[in-house]
Amino acid sequence: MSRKTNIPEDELVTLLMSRDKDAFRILYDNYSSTLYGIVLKIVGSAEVAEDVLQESFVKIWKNISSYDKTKGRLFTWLLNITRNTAIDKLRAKHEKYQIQSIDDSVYQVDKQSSATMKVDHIGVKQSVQQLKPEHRIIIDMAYYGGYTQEEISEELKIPLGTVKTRMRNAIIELRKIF
Amino acid sequence: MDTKEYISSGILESYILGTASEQERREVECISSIYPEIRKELDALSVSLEQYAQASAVEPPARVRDKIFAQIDSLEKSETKREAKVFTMERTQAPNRQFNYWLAAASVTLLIVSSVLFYQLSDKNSQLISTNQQVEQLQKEKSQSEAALEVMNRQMAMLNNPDNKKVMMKGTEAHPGMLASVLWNTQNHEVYLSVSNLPQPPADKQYQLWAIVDGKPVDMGVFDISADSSLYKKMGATQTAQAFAVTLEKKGGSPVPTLTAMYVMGQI
Repeated sequence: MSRKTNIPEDELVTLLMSRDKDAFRILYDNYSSTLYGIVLKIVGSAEVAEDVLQESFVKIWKNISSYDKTKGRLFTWLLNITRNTAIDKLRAKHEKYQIQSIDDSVYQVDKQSSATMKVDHIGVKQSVQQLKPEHRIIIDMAYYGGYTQEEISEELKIPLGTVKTRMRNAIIELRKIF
Repeated sequence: MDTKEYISSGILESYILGTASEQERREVECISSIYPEIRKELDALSVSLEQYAQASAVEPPARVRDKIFAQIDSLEKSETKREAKVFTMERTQAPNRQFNYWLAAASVTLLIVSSVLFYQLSDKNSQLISTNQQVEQLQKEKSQSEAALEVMNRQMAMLNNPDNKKVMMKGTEAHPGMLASVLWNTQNHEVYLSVSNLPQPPADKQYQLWAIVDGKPVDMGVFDISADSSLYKKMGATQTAQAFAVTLEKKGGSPVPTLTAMYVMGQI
């Protein structure tokens, strides 16, 4: 069921830079489900999420030469393009990305996708549940929602200092889990 | 730089989560490219967030994959089409005779106009060249004056130095009217010579300066007569001296002075 191909990131990037379409297929098969999961969380609708994913991968194909591996991992770059495309889509539709709906949508998507969920992800999924909700919401808002620390502080009505501390503790907690 | 402190500052988490400001982002990118341990930490943070993201991965419908590759294929095709576009040259109708006449007339006019313009241009060009030459000449003169002024300033400084003792050397009986002088520094013992009036010697001879120390002549070096002989120039050095004198010797100098060929001398 999983089409994921094991290939060193450096090698994949080199092939992508030469506009190798087979490499791009590998890229899609390796990363599309993770990115789609994130897009679903942001836009909340499968229909919109499909469009966003398509748009994002076309952008990735067009701009692959601007990826600079000295500045960070490939996934971080892919995520940035996808996240920005999703957020732009929301803005174009004049829909404010609501934090209340993040948490709801997280569980909604989880339920919806449970049928197609990969076996190797079940263990990981359970471990994510170990993350404290107050940590999880901050990671989701920042990482998926593109919120700044100030915006998180405003939305959640907690002091900026607390946002910073929680953000750091959330990552520490996350590293213990994985 | 304390990398541990930087790592624990929270800026890397902020960067990875995308909440860092533009300035912070550039800073992290720069610093992580310099310090491998910071880059390692950054990658480790990215990996744990990647795993977190994978935990909520959802397989997109197969049609999305098909649509993406169809779009990329059509993008590529339109790119190659643009590259392969060939422009064909079309034969134009032969122009009529009258048009040729006007074309010839226009060419002649153009030739005349361009000749005039060319003449004017070359005239301006030669003016420009001569102006440039004048500027160059003036610049050369200016740097020469500056150099001369610099030399005079150094001479003045030497004359005003209280450690320098000035000894006038006047013409001997055989050579009245001749004149030269010595500046003798009593601290570093250096001797400087200035010639006011000495005849140009024959080609096989040179003047030689002597210091008379406890009755014995000590060689202070040979010298030629030139346009700037009146400027004080460094000769030899002596700790003590009672007098200075100049004799005319064979070229290269002599171990002992020819007293009959003494031109000037002065006592301290």
